[in-house]
Amino acid sequence: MAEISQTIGSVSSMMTILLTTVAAISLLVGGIGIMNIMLVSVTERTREIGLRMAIGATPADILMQFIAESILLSTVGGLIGVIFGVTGAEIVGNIQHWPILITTSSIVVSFLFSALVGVFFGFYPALRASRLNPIDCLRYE
Amino acid sequence: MLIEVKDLVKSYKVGDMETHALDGVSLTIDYGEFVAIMGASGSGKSTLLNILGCLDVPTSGSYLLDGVQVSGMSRSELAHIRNRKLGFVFQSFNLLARTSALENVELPTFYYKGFPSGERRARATKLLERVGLGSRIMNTPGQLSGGQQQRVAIARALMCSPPVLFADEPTGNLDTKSSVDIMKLFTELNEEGITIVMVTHENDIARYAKRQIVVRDGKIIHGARFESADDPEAHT
Ligand SMILES: Nc1ncnc2c1ncn2[C@@H]1O[C@H](COP(=O)(O)OP(=O)(O)OP(=O)(O)O)[C@@H](O)[C@H]1O
Ligand SMILES: [Mg+2]
Repeated sequence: MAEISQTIGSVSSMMTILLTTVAAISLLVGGIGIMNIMLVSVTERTREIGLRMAIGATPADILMQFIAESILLSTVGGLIGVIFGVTGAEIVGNIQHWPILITTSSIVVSFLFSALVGVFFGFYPALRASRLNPIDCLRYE
Repeated sequence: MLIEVKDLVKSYKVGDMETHALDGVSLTIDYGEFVAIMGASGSGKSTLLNILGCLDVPTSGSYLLDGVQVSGMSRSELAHIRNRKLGFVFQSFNLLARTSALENVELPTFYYKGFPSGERRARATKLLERVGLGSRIMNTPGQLSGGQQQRVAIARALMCSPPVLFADEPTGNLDTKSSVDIMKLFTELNEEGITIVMVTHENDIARYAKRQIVVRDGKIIHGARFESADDPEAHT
């Protein structure tokens, strides 16, 4: 009996490690995707950045604008993730007749975490944008 | 004096070649003037205007704007100056696409900490009426003609009530009729007390200004009129 429970315990902890690793890799890949999109967005909107600076945006204003956009992007991603996660769990639970336990805290934490991913991966593109020179931006074709 | 620059130099290094876009420019502009900066292509007009407009910084030289020493200011201090004291009108309008004329005009106030948000809409509407676009406030730039877009840009430049307006070839992308309309608007604004500094290479446009400055090879060859408060010799 003790042996069985030990085996179940080690299998379940292995599953946890495996799933956490998969989740971490997904977050990293997703985050790099966000960083890429933000870098493209900064380049495409160079003239807009120049104009905003010309009418009074400080480097900090530009930084905040792009970080906010990155957070928006990542939390929308987080929302979609939560929806998929919850429905996926319900479907699997129904098929396998497993009891499904979804805590509010797990949803809140994953949501906050996606916002954090937005800040982390959006920071570098936003910093690049904020360091641009107004006149170079306005001349950019 | 509104503007007082002394010995401005701006040099660019491309590869081994060093070019002096500005080569020792001293100049004063008083409150209420309407100045045209003229000169051949590549003479340094835009470089001068961009430095006067605090969009660019000189390699050396000093700049007093409205009694404040601008040279040596940080990037965010310069941004505040541009927000409160300077208005810009560009050749290519630079309006935000897919954004209404009204929102384009409101934009500068979002960088004006303490601007009463309740007044934002009313003031932008009033300015758009002032430039003759009262019936087009919800149009996006794509739904406006070039001349109308430039008038939106002028309303935007006036939003934070700056004492001076800078314009780099404001009629460069416009036909003759729209150009005349814009210059009439500038003349009216100037009569209301706003200082205007405008770059152009067209004599017909420069004629609207009360004073012409000619730049050649990074030097002012005509119309500099330099009077320094701390340089008594200049008055003799
Ligand atoms: N970013 C830059 N890097 C290198 N050289 C530059 C740069 N900007 C301007 N220059 C040089 O400085 C000189 C003056 O340029 P500027 O743009 O001020 O001329 P301009 O009088 O406005 O001409 P135009 O009428 O064609 O607009 C030119 O020789 C130009 O090549
Ligand atoms: Mg030019």
